[in-house]
Amino acid sequence: FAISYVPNKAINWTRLVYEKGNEDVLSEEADSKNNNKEVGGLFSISKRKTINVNDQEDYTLMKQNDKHNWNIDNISELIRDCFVTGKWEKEKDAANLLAEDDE
Amino acid sequence: SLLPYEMTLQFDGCAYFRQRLVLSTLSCQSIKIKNIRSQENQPGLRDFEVSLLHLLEKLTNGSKVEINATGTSLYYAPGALIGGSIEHECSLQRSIGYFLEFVLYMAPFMKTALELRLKGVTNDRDDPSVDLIKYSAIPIMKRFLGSDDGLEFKINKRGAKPNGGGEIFFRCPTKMKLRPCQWTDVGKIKRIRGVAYAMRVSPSIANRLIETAKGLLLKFLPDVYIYVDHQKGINAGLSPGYGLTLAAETKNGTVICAESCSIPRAEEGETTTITIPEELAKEAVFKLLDEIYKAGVVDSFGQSLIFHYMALNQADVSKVITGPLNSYSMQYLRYLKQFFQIMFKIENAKELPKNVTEKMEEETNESDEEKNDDDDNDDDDDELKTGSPKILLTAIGIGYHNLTKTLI
Repeated sequence: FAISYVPNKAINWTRLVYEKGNEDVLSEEADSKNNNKEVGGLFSISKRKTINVNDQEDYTLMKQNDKHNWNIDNISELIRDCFVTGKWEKEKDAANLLAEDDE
Repeated sequence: SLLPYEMTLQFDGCAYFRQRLVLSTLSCQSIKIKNIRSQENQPGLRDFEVSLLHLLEKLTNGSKVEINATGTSLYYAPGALIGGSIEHECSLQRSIGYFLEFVLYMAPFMKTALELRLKGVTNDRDDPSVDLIKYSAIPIMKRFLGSDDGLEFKINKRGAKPNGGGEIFFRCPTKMKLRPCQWTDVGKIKRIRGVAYAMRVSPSIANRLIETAKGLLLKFLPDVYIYVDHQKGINAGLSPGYGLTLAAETKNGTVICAESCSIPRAEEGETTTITIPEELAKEAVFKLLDEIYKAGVVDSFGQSLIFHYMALNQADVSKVITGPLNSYSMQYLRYLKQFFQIMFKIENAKELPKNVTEKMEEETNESDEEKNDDDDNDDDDDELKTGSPKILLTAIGIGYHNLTKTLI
């Protein structure tokens, strides 16, 4: 198991959303080697490629029916500071603010 | 002047059916959809789509629906959203979530406050469940409505596939106009809540779901509480099923949701191996961690909904931070442009100049922008680990006013 998504800062979302032709396929820049339909999550969700975009069934969220080889340690490392138990921005961290007061 | 048929927007296929109907209704533009499953063995609209159109007819006054003999072609001319007290038996092919999500986009724009009773399947593996919608959508709606006055959401009965038997009640106030929203601070997750439900199965299943989920989630933070919802008798619906919906709540009002549900008995053994409660709970937890990784101020479910309320707003600026856009919300942004000529400014939050993010911070008082101080000299050689790169979306509302409300 490897985390499928490598953060790609180069994604031009404006182009991806509004440029003609992107309705049908995701542009190359977001298209990883797996031909993901969705980009940016921890797990890749691939779709049958043969379906025309207009013939896709109307589902809000992609189905995740594949079982993944989840590794909680890998994942928790990537999101640890989303929680109050994680590290805080310097300007919000209480210990830091106290230290600055002492200076 | 334009003749009606010249103003009709044309679409193809069964995709994004609800988005097309919602925007047609709110923009008062008629639409025509052709080639609906025309290449399939069973061509045309399915029962659940016809059921959705019936619901739409109940929500509106004067709308016109024409379907050709094979069901492959649909003409829809929208009427006025009237609201009021409405009851609808949803097709069992799709869960109540499919229908309810559709309604959320239009609910604040009714002539009279909507009091909606939907019957059918409350939880399944295909659509966002009524639990997920409750956790995820209500905090978003509160921001744009200004308060939760008159907003109510109750799950009266549960119902699993294939036979359903569930029932929910949803009340939403009407507004002359929505409030713009500046929501650029995700905030840190302070607690995790959830519900483990069991319908027509042993009550111990809910406890097994909770035990597994808590065991994994307590590694992240101590405040985890999952409710048991074990309904009895008629309130447990007509088919067996169970599942778990989880919601991570941040200090700034963001709620990030994910869930997993058992496979209906009829399909058992067909698609996945998730049949035992421990596996199902694990799936829900990992889906939640994935959502946390991908989240901004909204989760995946909330993206298109929040863009919708930003657009159908007064002519004021709204700003939100999201994670990577999913295909559903990207398509919604395209349709918003097509129906209302509104374009969003979409920027990678990281690439914004520092003074911009600082200014944003002043506006919103605090901001979780994960920018780093260059003058850091202590241990944090790395940036904060807050998941995927975030995106800032800015839009000026189209100046949408609920005109029907003034006629009362």
